[in-house]
Amino acid sequence: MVGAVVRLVGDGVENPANAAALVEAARMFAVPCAFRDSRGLAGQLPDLSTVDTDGLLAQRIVAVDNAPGAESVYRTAPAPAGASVVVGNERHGIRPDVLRAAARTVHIPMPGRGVNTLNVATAAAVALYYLLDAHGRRQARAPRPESHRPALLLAAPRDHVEAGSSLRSAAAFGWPVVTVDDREKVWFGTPRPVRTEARAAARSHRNPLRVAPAGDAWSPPPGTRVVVCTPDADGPPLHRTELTGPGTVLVVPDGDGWTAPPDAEFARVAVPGEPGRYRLLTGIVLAEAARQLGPRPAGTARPPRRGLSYGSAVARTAPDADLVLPWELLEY
Amino acid sequence: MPVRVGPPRRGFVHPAGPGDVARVLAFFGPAACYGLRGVELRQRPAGAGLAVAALRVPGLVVLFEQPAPPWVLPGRLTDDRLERAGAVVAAGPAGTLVEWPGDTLRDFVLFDGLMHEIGHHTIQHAARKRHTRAMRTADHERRADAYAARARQEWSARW
Repeated sequence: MVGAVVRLVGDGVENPANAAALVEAARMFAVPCAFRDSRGLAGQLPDLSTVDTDGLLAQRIVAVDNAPGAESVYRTAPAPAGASVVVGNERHGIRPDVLRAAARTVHIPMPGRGVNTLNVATAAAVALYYLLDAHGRRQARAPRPESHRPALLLAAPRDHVEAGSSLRSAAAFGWPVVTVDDREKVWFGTPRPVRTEARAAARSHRNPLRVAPAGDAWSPPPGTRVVVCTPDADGPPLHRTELTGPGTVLVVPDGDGWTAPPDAEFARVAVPGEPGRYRLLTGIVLAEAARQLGPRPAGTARPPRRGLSYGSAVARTAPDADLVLPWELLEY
Repeated sequence: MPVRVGPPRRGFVHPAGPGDVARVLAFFGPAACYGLRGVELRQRPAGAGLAVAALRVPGLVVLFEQPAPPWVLPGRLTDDRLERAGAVVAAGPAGTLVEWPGDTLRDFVLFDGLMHEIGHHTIQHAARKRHTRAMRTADHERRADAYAARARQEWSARW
């Protein structure tokens, strides 16, 4: 992947952990990272590179935001050299002055239900992956994308927050079930503080995802095609590998502690910089798989869910003949 | 506890007014009201049959308007709750005549409607479930019925 020289800018990011992850995302793509610090972030992270409003608005801006009219990041042109790729605050997004000044606004399509946002650093990594010229992408599938959705195995995640954030991404990209090989004990049977942090990162309160344990000795069912996606794999780039199809299992290992089955295929998460943290890696893999699946056809959205309700009514048998009741006559 | 009233259609009544509802809720106190968001007296939706009440989780109880007594119902009743509530039920060839002497219709709505739904509410609330049923529907109904029957006993003993 040949990247144009761009800069990643976090606009009003307020969580220091997210800021650190954002710096890693920039490092992953070998681009500089700066922050428009409106939330006192520099006080907590002294080494942070900051940019003022004038400095930010002076350059061409590609805003990554789910704003009305934004174009899909999968179909947009690469970011021009010298542009600033801007991601916004965790809750409020990019501030209006930057959105107004942006030359282009792109969004990451997310077909998930319940959770439809990514962690800010994950969103930045996904946006940079596509904006920095992922050449020669495979065609997206057109009809019935759900029948081609691959199974997903998160293999041996080493950090509970990274695992939780990856599960959030999986739900946002439309996976209903994810299997976790939890050999590092970061998701199942963890102490309460760890569990709370992990579930918060996964947005469990509104995340409909079902997380299944892989068991001690996970092996792929017979006839399945296993695609292992890592940054250091000896294989074709991720966006040129077929990641979808019935019977496909996508495996995203964290580090090299997980041994792939002998007949597994490998796809390389081709990033020009150093491999980033787990949530960034899974975000890119899942975004690419979702892109290859294609958009959900119009008209298949589930109708709005009615809440749970109980009713009480007087039970009776049906009449033998049609009767007109007094109050019906009055109504008439 | 807010009690909102939508006017009934012609030929229908709200047998239990907001004052009756407030009195019952005040009698049973926080044990019944905790987590409740409100009570609404509404018109009966089309196609709802002889709907008495409904609970919209979390915590909204809806009491539907009822036909002004006496009721002449097509078909036969398979529900003995009306007789237990004091109604006089007479099955005839053309249908069923249900008469409600005194305050029996009001009490039917208050206990087999309001307190029955509060029974559902307490089950869901105790299980901390908003989107899924805390137990099988049949068990849920049985417990809500038992809750309503107990509430009626306590109310009768007091008054």
